[in-house]
Amino acid sequence: MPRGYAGKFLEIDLSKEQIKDITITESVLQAYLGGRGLATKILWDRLGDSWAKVDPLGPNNMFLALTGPMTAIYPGARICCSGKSPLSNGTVGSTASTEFAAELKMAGYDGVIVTGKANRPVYILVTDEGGEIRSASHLWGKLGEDTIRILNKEVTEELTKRKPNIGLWREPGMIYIGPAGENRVRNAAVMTKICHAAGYGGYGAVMGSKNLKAIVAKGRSKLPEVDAPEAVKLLWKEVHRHLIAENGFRRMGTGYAGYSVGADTSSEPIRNWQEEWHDERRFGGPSFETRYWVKKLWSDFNCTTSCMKLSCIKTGRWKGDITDMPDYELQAYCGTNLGIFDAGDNIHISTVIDNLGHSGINGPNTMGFAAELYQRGILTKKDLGFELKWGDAAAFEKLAWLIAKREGIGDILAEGTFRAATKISKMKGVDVAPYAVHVKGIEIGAHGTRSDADYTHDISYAANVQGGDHTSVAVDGYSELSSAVFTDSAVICNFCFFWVPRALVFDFAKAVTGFPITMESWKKENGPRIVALQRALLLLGGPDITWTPIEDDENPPRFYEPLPSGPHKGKTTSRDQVKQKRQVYFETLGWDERGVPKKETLEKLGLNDLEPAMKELRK
Amino acid sequence: MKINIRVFGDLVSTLGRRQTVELDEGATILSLTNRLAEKAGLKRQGYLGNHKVNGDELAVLVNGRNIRLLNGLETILHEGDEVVFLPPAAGG
Amino acid sequence: MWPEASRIRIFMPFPGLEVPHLCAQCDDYPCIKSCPVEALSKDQATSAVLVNREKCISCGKCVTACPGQIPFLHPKDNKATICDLCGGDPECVKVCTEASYNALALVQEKPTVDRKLFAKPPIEVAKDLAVNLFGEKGEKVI
Repeated sequence: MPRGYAGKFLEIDLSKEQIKDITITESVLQAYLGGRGLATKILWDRLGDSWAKVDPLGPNNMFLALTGPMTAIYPGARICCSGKSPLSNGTVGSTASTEFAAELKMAGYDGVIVTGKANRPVYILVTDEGGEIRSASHLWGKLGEDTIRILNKEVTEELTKRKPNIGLWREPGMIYIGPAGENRVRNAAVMTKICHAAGYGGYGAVMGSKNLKAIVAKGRSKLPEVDAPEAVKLLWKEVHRHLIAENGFRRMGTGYAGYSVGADTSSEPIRNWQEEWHDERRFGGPSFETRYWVKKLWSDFNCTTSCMKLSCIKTGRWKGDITDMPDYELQAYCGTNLGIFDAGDNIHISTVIDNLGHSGINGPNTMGFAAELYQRGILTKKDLGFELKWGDAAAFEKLAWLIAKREGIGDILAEGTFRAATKISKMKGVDVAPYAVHVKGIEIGAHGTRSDADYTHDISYAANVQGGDHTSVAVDGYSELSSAVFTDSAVICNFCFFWVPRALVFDFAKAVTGFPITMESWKKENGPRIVALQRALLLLGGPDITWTPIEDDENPPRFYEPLPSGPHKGKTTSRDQVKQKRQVYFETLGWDERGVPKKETLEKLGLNDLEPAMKELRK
Repeated sequence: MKINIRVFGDLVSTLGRRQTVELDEGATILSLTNRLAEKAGLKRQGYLGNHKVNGDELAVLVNGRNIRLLNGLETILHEGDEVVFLPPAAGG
Repeated sequence: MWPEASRIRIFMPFPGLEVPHLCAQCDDYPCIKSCPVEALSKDQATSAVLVNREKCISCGKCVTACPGQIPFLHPKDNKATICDLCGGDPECVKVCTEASYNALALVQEKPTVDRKLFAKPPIEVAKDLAVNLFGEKGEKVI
């Protein structure tokens, strides 16, 4: 049996209320590992035949929460959520840091696979005894903080009742949705630990469409055995040594970047990306650190880096808000993108977004889009019910609630930026697509391409199988295939990966699994195989939208407008560069000039069963 | 011949963001990186600062193609080629 | 790795409120007194509680007797599990220090210090931590 794995997956059909344990063959695990890779493979195997017809928000979609063999053993335990994305109609490997991943493995499971739809709100409980479906009627409508509080109490009480003598039960791990997911807001997140989110892909909406409020896990068994225990011990110490030396990053997390990405690399979204530069010095890291950070080295299971910070607002207007830092993405999206440059206001919007279960990136992207339409007089006070001015935190809070509940204008904006733009264009008789910043329906992360000074460039998003996902950008079709594609499948945290010599990480992977894992094999085989599958599913798309190759392998119109301000004023993304790099990217991956995987490539990667569908796409 | 260089990440401080380098016909990536290293006062052959040029981490692209898929350090350059140095980076 | 078999377990009643939970060697040893088969005893050298696993009948009385409900039954064989200070050189302290976290230390407390202050149920500790970190809001999160 392959090492690092608990040995089985939990499969639950919520329509039939059927629960079973399943195993996956070793050859599949060796090729796809877990997380993103394995989820994509399972989705292709089970739904590939009818992919274009599967409604991501219907009962036929699957929701997967998978770990990988390195999860909880290598620093930075994460869970990877996937399914058919309600945004891109493809797949995303969407991860979040959480003890849930460790508890799942301790309960004896490598992942949970959910199909069908429950006829009333439920949550799934996973213990050493297996999986069960429990009522969540009392939880439906609850915000994140309350969901955790209630489930912690309820589950420990229940487990104590079942096994009364054994001592105190530790709290379970859990992933859950907020009102946004419940109401199938298309870009809603899967939440955990109040402020961690599997944000990209809209999988919170998928859970909501299944009436699935949460998945809770509590196990008391060992973590899985590894192939070479002495080697893993030594390698863990080496990895730890590298991570704990990152003093700068550990102290600041990504939450000092709210100022510098705007001021230095000029790639931060300001007011719906109308600008990407700001010099609001009061928005610097210290404004957060001294007043709001109550815990400065905060982490999740088996994490050395501990770059998270716990923030709390103790006085004033937003008293009682609890969230993390915020991290850079939410400083940008719940801050500068909404014209907010006050630390307290930024923390407040982050808290509201987290509690409602919006994705901190995708949700405020749509809110910024709405605010620009208001700025331009396309959406009016009458449409919104109130004024939506840049920088008005109370107004954006109001909007976040409307979207989460699909009330008023919220019902349209809940469709995500891309689909909302289509609806509003029709509604108003004005083309508002130029103001929508997304790629293939997935709203873009807070790193722009126009300055060319950040790590994101021409095809980073345009060619990315995960659209606007900034954590897994397209580079050259080779070098990046052993980065996010790997970490999302081994399921470990990127911030326990970046500063570690790659050879060490891959030796660790080998020592855990016993698989012949190398960086080169991931760049040449495993990575390309996963990405080819993702590309295929992305192009098959449907049912509401199918992307047009080349035409939709593009940046949003805004990314071709010259930057209006800052040290990179006048610069913009080069269409020629995009065209040229895209061709090279497709070629390197063995895809044709429209980015459809070629027959030889599919043969080489053992994906022959994709050929009939790809043949159709080549016409 | 003229080769256009673009640099990103932590190499910017040593190499600057953009430059044009004059090289002899038939020059390779190795000759380019040696020239850049020399100009910047870096000593190690085949390295740019801490980054091994033909190693696992730094991505070196010639007109968008990774040199690891071409001829590594022996990849021959041509007039007007664009060479990009991408240290590993990503966001959060 | 077996978190649930470790004599030091970390509870988290609310995100951000992590509470290490382990034996504090109470002066009056209520756990030892409560054992119906005399499976528990005091290590004279370290003052730690020792469990005779062969004698233990998994009744759970030591758990209830402990003011912090710190003992637990081992997930493998249900025997009472209590920190024995590793004979005087605790492993957990060693690795925590080696890892540069420095969150654990072996301490020789004075007799006037009430050990029961360190032997509280995690929820009680978390309630204090919550107010410490979150102010008034802290009273609402547990």
